[in-house]
Amino acid sequence: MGSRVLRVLPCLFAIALLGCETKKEGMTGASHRPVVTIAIEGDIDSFNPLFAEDITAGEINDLLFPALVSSSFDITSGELTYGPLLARSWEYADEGRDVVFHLLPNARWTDGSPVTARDVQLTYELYGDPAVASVRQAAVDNLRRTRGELDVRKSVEVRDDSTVVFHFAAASPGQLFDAGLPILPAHVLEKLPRKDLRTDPVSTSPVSFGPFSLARWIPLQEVVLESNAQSVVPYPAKLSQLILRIIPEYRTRLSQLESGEVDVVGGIRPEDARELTRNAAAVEIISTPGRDYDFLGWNNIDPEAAATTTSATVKPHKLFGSSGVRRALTMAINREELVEAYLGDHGRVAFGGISPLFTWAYHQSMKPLPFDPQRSSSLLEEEGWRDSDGDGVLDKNGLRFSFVLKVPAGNQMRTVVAAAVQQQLRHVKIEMRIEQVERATFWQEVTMRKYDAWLAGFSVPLQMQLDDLWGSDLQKYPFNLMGFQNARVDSILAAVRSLKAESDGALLWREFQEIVQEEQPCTFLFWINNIVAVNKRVRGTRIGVLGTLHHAWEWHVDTTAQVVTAVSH
Amino acid sequence: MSLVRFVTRRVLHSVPMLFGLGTLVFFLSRLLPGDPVSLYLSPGVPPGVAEHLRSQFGLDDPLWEQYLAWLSSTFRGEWGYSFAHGAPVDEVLLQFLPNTLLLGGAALVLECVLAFLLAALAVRFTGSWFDRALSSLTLIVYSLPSFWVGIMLLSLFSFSFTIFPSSQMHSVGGEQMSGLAAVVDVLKHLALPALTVAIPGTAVMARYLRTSITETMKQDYVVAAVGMGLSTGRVFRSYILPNSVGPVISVLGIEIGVLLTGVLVTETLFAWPGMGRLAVMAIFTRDYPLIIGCTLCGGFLIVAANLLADAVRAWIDPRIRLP
Amino acid sequence: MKRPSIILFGSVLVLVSLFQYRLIVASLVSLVSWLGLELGLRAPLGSYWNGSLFEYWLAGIVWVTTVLWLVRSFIVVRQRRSNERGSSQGVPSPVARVRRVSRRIIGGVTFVALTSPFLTLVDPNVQGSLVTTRLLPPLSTGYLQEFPGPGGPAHTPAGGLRQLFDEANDYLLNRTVLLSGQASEVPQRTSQQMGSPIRAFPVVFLLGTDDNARDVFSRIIAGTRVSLGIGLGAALGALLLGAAIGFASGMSRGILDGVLMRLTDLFLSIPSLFLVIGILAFVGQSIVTIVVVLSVSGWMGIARVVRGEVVALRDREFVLAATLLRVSTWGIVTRHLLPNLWPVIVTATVLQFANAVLGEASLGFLGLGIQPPTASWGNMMGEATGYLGSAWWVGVFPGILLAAVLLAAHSVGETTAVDGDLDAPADGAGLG
Repeated sequence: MGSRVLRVLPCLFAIALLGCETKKEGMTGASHRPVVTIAIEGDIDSFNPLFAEDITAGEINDLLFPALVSSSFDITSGELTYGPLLARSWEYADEGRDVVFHLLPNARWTDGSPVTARDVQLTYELYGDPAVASVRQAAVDNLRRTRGELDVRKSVEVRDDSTVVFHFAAASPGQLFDAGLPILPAHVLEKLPRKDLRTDPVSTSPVSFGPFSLARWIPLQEVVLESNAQSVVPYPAKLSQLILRIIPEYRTRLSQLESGEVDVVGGIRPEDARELTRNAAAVEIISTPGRDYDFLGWNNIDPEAAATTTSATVKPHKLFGSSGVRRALTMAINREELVEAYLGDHGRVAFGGISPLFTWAYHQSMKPLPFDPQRSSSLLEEEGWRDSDGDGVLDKNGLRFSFVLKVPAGNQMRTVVAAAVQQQLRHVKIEMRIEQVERATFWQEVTMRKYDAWLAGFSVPLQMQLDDLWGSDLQKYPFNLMGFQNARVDSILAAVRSLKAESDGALLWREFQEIVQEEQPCTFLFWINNIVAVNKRVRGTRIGVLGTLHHAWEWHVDTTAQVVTAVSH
Repeated sequence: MSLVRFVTRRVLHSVPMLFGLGTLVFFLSRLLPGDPVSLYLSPGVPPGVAEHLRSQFGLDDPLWEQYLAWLSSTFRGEWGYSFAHGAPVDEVLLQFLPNTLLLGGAALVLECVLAFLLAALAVRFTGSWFDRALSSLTLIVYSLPSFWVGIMLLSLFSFSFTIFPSSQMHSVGGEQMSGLAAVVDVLKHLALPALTVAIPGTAVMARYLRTSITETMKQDYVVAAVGMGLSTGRVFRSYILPNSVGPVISVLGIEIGVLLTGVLVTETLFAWPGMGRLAVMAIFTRDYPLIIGCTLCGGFLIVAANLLADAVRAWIDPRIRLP
Repeated sequence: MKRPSIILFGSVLVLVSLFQYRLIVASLVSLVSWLGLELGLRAPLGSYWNGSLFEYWLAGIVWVTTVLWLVRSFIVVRQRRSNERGSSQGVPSPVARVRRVSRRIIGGVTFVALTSPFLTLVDPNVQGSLVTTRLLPPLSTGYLQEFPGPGGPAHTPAGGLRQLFDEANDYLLNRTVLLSGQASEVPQRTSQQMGSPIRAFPVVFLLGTDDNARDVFSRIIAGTRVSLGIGLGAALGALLLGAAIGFASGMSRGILDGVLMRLTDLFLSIPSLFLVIGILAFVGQSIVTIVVVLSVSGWMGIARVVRGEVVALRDREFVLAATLLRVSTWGIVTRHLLPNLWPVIVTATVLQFANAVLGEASLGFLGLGIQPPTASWGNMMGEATGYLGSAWWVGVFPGILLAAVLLAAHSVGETTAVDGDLDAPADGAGLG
């Protein structure tokens, strides 16, 4: 038996020896081939912009398939601005209803074929075709209809190989936004049956024309983007390779960042951001505010009467139907304390429904409802809620103020915040139970308005497009989760649609925010910054409102000063 | 001869089981609340898209038609297309199955070796501090969550001492390596996750083995053998060991099944691209074809593993008459 | 029990009683007055019934019983010492010693589980001030204030048992506890006229606080009942199911055996997450559901092991002998097979217990387990994954306690198995 032990020992020893040789991953290329490694949490769902849902997939696809125009967000004015990309210039025609784009003449796909106006046309045909079932179908909504029907071939007109004209239904500020989607190769896709596009292998080995091309994709492991030497849109990427490693565990991503194995990690938690700023000299923290927010949703309408009804037959919710009650709930929650405890400098209290990013629309002088439990209690009492049976919970006409808050599972901070809110509501004698629900279930049921209350979050689009969240037509807008219906808000939303420039609607949006504050359809909690940590050796990043990989072709590596990580544990 | 018959019989019995499994999972997955399409929707996506998606996925046909369609295509060997990956299910499975087999296999080998060593040593020094310590240790180790053990190993061997890499199967550019370098690279990445996966199994098997050996040692035939003057080694090898591996083999059968269907926690922690993560993601995204594919694949592996375990057990112990 | 231990245990009880006398007295008063009212068939208590009352009653009963038992033991030991003066007690065997320690641990843990409302010095669900008391390391200090409840419903027949009952319940169920970093913070956080506090004093967070500024020590104690209950329930459930199927499968030959084993394979193949989401979605989340889910996903291992052993033993001489003597199958199972299988079964059950508690942790990890604010070791360990590098105390202590409990359970189980083995009718090999 002793001999058996002896036999095993050398094997273990050998394994240990093998292990000792490991080099730091990612450093192999540091000296002569500029490579940047990003750690991401989940796998890419598709390399086809028609189908990609995941945010990172979208950013990658933007690099593979540039659009006609490149977008930037001006922080001071709070507006999107556009510059040339595939289109070297454009002009307006027909009183601003048409936009004529002149494409770069020498852009080529990775298989050698030239990029032409036909590519643009087919791309939009595919986006809009129900058989393809792309999630970006809305892209063609604003194109001109011929006799009430949409014919993309007519609305996106090919004048010649390098000129394409977009005929919109009306002049609007969103024209360049609509025309700014990734462009796909017609010569590859037009031959394929539309309904099978989703499962066609072309999505996994794409023909592209952007500054990066897809070198390799190993599912659940990594995505390797390579600089495309032929690209003129705008030029081949300065990095030779951009590698995205899929590492689902947050702690591992963080330690790989600290050890230098990866250069960029997003989704950093606020307390870790503080740690990193203190301890890791080689890492820079970029905190982008204003795109994501969390809120407590109160179902304004009765779930039993919800689902398919029009405004005529909707009944107000027994607990949350009154705006007074909702305001009382907001005032019972100490949002400042939540921000201070859980977000620190990387968040702020949210209210009003419009992001502070849009400086022209944000209501600078309005303040969020204060934390005032006394006022909250008296407001509730005015609404008829009293603790008549002494059980510590308010009641009215025999109905106890007790409900279930549904929280989509998987977000640690939301669970913690929900527990904090639970305690704060108990102080005003409201009983709230928490139930975490698996994500798929949650989103299906909340859009069917089955829940009484929930804690969720949204990401705001960069175009002021709020109909989906606040429009009164509950069937058309399932994401108006609260069932909020207000005629004045509807007219505001209709009015801004027909404006020439987005910023013309400033006054209207101000009114919108005041109505939302007064009606308090939900309790906005806070804006959560997106915190990205970048190793200082990576230069030229434009990480911000438009995402981490925005204009990643400008990234380059500082090879002159090798910045070594200095992490003190 | 009876072994062959046994195996054939088992295979025949397993076919209806797999069929039943597929059917069960087919209906159960559709009964789960939430549907695959709702995850594609967000503000800005018109509700009409949901209908188009559903018809593309074939979800708007009546349930019975969907079931029959699934039946006929499965019998033909076509397992459908995964909603989330947009690729044929069998291709997706083939991308991840070898990784899981590798991890599971390595863990299994580790488990058997370590469990045997520990149990044998414990029995050799019965009643001593080693035996008691082992007893306590195995239980402690088994009661620690595997993510914990994994994080300990990670912190120790990867972050503090950088002996082993901390994630995934290959180093950056590792697939470009060939031959011995590639094998060594994979082995280095395999070490920590395999150890993490193996530890609870080792604890279980060591305990069963030790209990079993102790029981067997009390048997009269063992006493007789020792009395006859046979050496300890001989007694151990020929008398004790064959009679005590019984329960361990049964456990091993389960263990193989568990390992081969992938261990989610370890795979997530070490970013190992395995079936565990694949199956869980399929469930969370309600990717029906992939869920069924993973389950059938797992079912097949479990049947094979248990078949092997039972056959080995019968081979070792001739008293077990195979049914 | 020996005298020193009685004294030790007794002192702990006395100390806690002094500290928590209000709670203990209120619980007892509530229980006694309820009994009085029920027996006296007074006005029905109807909507004022609250399930949490039962926890306090149980804790009160156990507390009083334990005190009485301690007193009795003390007297007995005293008498025995005076009787047996001079006789030396032999050193207990190692087995007996281990057994005694394990029994003490199990007894202690059971005691803790049953009396947790009294032992949690700080309320387990109360959150302190998020900014100052969040994620504090062990042995940090804070400040606690306790306020009375609103006063209960007004009743026309004031006085008497009913009033006592209402007052006691009002204290038990409606009192408010506020935690903060320092005394000065508290007035700002009260939302309404709280009146003056019943008591206010600095507290020590023995094991630190978690991300919701709750005391970890209190949560561990409160979680004892939940986790042990789930672990036991799931282990027993898995045992019953698994043993039944294992025995049925092993004793029968042919079709039933095949069918049951294929059923086992089937259940092994279904991803457990699937079962979890499905069952939880249909039946809703509660402790019972979680026990069911964990049992249903855990019986397969036991079934296979039991079946394997039964198959090995069923052809042995003593079983054949029993059959010839026309002992029923049930008799064979209980009197001949079970004792021989006992060690294996015990091992399997204890391991399944560990599995179940860890399973609960995974459920907590996914957010599908015990819902906040209820504490359980499992969901504490699950939450802790995000903090392992920084706030390690959130997850380490439940894990340590779990390991200790499992060790104790196993020792008791194993030594019982040893004894059981000696007492059971041996297999026929012991001729004569």
